[in-house]
Amino acid sequence: MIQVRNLKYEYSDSGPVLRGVDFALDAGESVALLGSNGSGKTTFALHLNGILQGQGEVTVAGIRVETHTLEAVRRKVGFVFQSSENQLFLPTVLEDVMFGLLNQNVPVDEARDRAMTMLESLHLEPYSQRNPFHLSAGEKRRAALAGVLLMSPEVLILDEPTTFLDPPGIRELAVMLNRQNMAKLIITHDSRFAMETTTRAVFFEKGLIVAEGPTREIIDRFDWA
Amino acid sequence: MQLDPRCSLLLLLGYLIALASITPGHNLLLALMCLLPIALLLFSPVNKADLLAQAAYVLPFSFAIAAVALLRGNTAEAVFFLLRSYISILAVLIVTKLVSTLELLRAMERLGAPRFLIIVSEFLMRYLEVLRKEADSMRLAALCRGAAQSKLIAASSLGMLFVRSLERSTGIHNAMLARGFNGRLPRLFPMHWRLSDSLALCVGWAGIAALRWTI
Repeated sequence: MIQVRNLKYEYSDSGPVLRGVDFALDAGESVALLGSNGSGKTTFALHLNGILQGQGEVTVAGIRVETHTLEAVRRKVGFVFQSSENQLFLPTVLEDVMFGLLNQNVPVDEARDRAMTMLESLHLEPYSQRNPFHLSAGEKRRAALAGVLLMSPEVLILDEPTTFLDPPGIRELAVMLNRQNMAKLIITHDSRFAMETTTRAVFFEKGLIVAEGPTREIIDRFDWA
Repeated sequence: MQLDPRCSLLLLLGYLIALASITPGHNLLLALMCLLPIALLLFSPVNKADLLAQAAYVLPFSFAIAAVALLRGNTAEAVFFLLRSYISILAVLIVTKLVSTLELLRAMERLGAPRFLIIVSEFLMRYLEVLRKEADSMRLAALCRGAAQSKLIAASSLGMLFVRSLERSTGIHNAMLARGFNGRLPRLFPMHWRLSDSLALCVGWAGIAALRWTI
């Protein structure tokens, strides 16, 4: 589903962040990206839907990520960002959840019906007309997830999805994610959440993947629990 | 009956033009024109005292013009300017209370206002609250570390607030791109201009024009 070869990236105001990353993700697979802060996990993930474009080769579902393929790539890759407040920017939850579908030129009525169904499935229906800023952290996270899931991506990337969530919220999110059949890439510091939601993990260190294997094995090897 | 936001906006525009066209000395006309927003205020489900107070914020600014009349020794003209600006702002405030800001922005867009301006206004409106939270959290952090003067803190952390705003706007833009944003915000709820809107606009404009140009 995703192939990354020798990916390198450098921010203009800092040194190299990715130093030649090779990675593969199969359809339906769930992989955790582990590693300390600043190790390059988020920078790496931002290359998978072309938000950042570094040196090397990134291919998603057979499409090479390049400027002219971004629209097609972004239909395949859904990205739930760490900050839900950044992700939710329209005046009501319903409008925000519909946003991605409307960008895909889905008719408004159909988009609204599908968004309401999605909100029902995530128990957010009562909040459909609320301002997203006035939701709790868990509700914001679910609303952000709803907007991405509605686009039926083939790969779902979540950047630190457990941030700001309480333990029941984390458990609920894990159950919700395990119900999704698409490939998932989860950036997290929460080792328990990683074990509940992924089967494989890769460990980032200074812009490189230094280890990969079954999630529990990687967590134990790096004493990451 | 709920008017289409475009109709409300056009009625307001007509009223403001008529009001602005009244020249000093036509005190009876000004008084009659004042009755329109005051009547609307009385019969609207809004906090009347708040609106009357908020409209007074314009007075220090319009006083600059009134001061010229005062310097010429024309007190009546100065009062005329102050009253006209106060009533103009009151009319605008009443409409913004009766029609949501978002609907007004969308009505402006449908009436031909530049789309870029509308989008910027919409985002500004939505993220003011987020920026306020950022500013509050920075102020609280400073107070927790022993800072005493909250005004001084606000001033010194203004630069940092801009940096945070930039970071946040980058984050928002990335999130929008990730969901296929192509430079156009989708419009979800189309406006419906009904016969009643046409009627209200014709009657409203005719009434305003009759009041303004027949007295």
